[in-house]
Amino acid sequence: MNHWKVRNPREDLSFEINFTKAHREAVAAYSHPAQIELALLKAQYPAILMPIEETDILAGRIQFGLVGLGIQGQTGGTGYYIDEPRVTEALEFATGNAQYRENLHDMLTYWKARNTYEQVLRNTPSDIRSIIPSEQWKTQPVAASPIIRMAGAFIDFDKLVSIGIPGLRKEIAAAKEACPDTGNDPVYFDCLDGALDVLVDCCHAYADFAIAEAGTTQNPQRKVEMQSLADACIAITSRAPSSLLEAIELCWIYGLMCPLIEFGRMDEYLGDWYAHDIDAQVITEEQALRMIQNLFVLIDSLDCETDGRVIVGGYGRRNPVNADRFCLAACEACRTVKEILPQFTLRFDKDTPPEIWDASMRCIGEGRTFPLLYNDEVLIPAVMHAFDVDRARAETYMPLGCGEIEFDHYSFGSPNGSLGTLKVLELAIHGGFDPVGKTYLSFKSPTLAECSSYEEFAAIYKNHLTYFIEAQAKYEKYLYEAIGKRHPFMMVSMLYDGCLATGKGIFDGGCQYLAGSIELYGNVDSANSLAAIKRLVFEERTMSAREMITALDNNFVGFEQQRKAMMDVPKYGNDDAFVDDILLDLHNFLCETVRKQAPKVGLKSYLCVNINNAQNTTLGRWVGATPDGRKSGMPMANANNPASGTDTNGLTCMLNSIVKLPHDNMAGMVQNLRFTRETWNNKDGKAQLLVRDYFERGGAQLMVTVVGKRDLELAMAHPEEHTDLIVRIGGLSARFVNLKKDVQQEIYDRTSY
Amino acid sequence: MTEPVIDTYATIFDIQSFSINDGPGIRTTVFFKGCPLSCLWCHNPESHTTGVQLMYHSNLCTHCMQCVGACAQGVHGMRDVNGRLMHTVDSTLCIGSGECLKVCCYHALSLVGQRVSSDQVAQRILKDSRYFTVSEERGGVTFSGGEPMLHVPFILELVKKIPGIHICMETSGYAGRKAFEEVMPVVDLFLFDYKVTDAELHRRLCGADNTMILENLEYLYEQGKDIILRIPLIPSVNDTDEHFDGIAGIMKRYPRILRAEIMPYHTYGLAKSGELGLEPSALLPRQGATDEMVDTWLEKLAERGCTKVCRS
Ligand code: SF4
Ligand code: SF4
Repeated sequence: MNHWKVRNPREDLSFEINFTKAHREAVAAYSHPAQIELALLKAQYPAILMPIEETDILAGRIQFGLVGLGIQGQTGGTGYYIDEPRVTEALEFATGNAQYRENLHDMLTYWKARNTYEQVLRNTPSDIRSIIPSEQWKTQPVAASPIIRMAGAFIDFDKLVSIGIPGLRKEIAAAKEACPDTGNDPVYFDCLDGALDVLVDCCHAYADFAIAEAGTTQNPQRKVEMQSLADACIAITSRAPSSLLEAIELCWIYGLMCPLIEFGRMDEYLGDWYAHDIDAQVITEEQALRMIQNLFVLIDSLDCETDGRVIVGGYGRRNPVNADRFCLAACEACRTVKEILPQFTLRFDKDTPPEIWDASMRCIGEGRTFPLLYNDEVLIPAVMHAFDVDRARAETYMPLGCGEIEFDHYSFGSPNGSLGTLKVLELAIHGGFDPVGKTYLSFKSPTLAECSSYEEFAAIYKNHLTYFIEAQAKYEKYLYEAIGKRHPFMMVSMLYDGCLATGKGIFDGGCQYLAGSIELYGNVDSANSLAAIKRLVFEERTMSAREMITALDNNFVGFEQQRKAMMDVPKYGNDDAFVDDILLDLHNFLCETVRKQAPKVGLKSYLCVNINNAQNTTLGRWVGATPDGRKSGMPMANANNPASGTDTNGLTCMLNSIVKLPHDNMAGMVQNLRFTRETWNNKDGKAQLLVRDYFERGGAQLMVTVVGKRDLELAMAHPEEHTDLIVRIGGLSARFVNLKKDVQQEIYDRTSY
Repeated sequence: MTEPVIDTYATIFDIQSFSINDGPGIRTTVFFKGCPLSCLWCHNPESHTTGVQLMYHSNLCTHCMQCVGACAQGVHGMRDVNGRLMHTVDSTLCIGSGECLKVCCYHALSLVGQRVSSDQVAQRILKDSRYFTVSEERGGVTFSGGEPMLHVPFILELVKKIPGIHICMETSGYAGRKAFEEVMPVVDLFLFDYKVTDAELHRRLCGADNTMILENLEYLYEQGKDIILRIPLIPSVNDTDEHFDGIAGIMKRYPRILRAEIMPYHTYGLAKSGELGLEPSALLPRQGATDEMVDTWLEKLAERGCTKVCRS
């Protein structure tokens, strides 16, 4: 649950009580989901909008309720949601009168079975549920887990900025008029128009906040700023934006009503107004920068870690010159707003201006980890192949949240399932049985000890993987249907291709390219484990399968020598063909198997992703000891990066390994590189040359961490996870974790950020 | 019948890729074991002997005591510290069998020194070869140590297997003339140490005087080789005016030397000695050189007309 960053949060739950009342009344009064949604939009907005804070020059703070309408977890929840633990807590500590307490009790019982999450979960068809029974992947050993959310809306901000609210109303009216011909339901269009009324209310609400702030401030300059902010908020209710400030406010307020946590190609949709206002001397470059900085602060205030993408650069922008100007300013905003959001993302290609590349490198060099780098030269052909789309479409690709690829205001590919491939390997070793939960999580099969060849075992493992993948694909399709029936998500739909023409909500037939993705975790550890099995059990025959299984089942206690032997088998990330080929084979098998599911379940595409987030740790928690020497419960490797401490051949060989994996059969992967400040800022730019080279040889994506104080603290506290960290001391380089504490301390002390 | 191939072997203690401070471009540095000198401040004390040595990284040790039972020599022991069993190491007893490494799952033990063939090293280097070409200034391989000049036959064999790759030799200069004659044609750039100006002090601090070193420097210079001078500066040990005069003198006498690089002293070597169970010299400062010291040194050299100097 998020804690939206607002200075004076609402404490009592009267908004939640009103929202509940509104829902009760709406379902009694209306039958069309759009009518119900409209009633709830009115209940939620502008009620949850928050005042302008002292440090803000933009309006746009918000605090989502503990009950409300959202689209994914970070916006409170998916659909109609309730945060039961916190409502319960409020009840236990409630200070209000008897009526208030009754209302809270009512709220809990009312939503118990009515919240979208619960309804979707409860109605999951039994053939899917029997294979992926639990979404509680944090607390239970599971191989595959459904994830309930609709993540990754990238709406058409560019259109919004160009036609504004009146333009949208016109399109809606035209579509409504055409209903007799199209057979669409006019009620839907009335509701869309009604939703825009709510948007107008929101603009007025923020204008009022701005006027209030203008009234209280003693600072004459701030008074003027707040007055023009109020004017801007009011202006956009009746015409298309005519300045950068108006464009920003319209997009932001609209986004809050979706509610949206991805901010798309910002350089394209704001670039023209940025250039216009500066060229026409409406504002200075500094003023524009302050606005962008504040916009970034607002994104950060949504507290939606792992999301909050702002994407700049790359092929396919309609206004590259203006967009690039904005892009440079945005790089500076990213460098100076030192928050964890937005996830600032640079798409680059061979024509990316050097000053944008340099600004990005500078930003990275200061330890921001942003921008995340996406190589259009590689990704566009890869995306064309993976998604089977033409080049023009591929050029609109957008990485959402952790990196799943979608197409701007065209496709939706919410990642609604995860698969722990290492857990599946553990099951395969034990014939389908989970030694952690002591139950069968997959079908019964011969155990590793019963296999007579590596090939036999590998085939069994793949069968188990397929078993879960098929169920996850069906689940994805089911989830879209279940959500689509209940939620028109009108604000998103209105700015998604296809929804106005079809008169349908985005998940109910409106979106013309409904896709899906599955998050894979543990591939690298699985490949390392397979390598150990292959080498020790079947090739060298120095360890029997039984001995290996016993060592694993005992978490290596009393089997240290066996563990070391397993650890000593080559590991992925060292440019070693033996194990790299095993990962390549596994990777391709997974990508192709996942991809094959799309036509079977009726999605436009269904692809896997290998991404960064905390699930490598959380899912690893419930996987017992594995044949790569990993101890029970320990984290798995992050995305496609080598397991920590195993890339002993250095950076060059690690890069040689990671470029071996293709990405034209999947929906996104993430690579991390870590440099110390001295290395990155080497006067000849050698580290940057390495990065350039990585991209030239087919690297698709990169996240560069330039190590700062915090990283060094972590490395001191958890040396085992930072064995790859090389630091420069005196005239030489050394592995940080091998240094004595006092030497580490000295390096820490001289690191300035 | 095929001829059995006889390969050349050497003992190395590390291969470091993406090495960006040991010569031009991106390089792979091979560290050879064994050194005829014994400079007090050595960063790599594990390079001194030619044999294999145990290294214990106490930071990574979990005190699981697996190694205690594995070593027949009694190198690994235990001691009670406030009721907690702590691992102890007596490296003097170690015979380098490597048995303890087989049970240490925490990377806390390593044996310094690996017998490798020139084939093995060549293959490892070739994995990195594309990185040598990414910068305008070509990268390549740097031989370091220890004293790589002790391994000339191995190096000659190795460079045949990595044709076209830029070669740097990082040397103390303390080796026979013949070795330099042999290796000179295959080396593109020498990183040549200049440690102490006074011959007697050189003998005291490094274990041998510098006559032969200076002769070799002159020889390489006369032969037209590219040279960068590397100057370790240890506060209150060799940062004397006489030494700065000496450095300036060398740079004046040999104007074609590309530049001089200052290598400021760091206590890292001290810590490593500890890991090897060695007693570091009492002469050595217990604090590293500060940025201000380096600035002062650079100023002193500038005063002496020596401008082609930078910090490494
Ligand atoms: S086996 Fe390794 S971690 Fe365990 S006590 Fe020995 S050195 Fe320490
Ligand atoms: S290398 Fe051999 S002799 Fe040395 S400590 Fe380990 S087990 Fe003992």
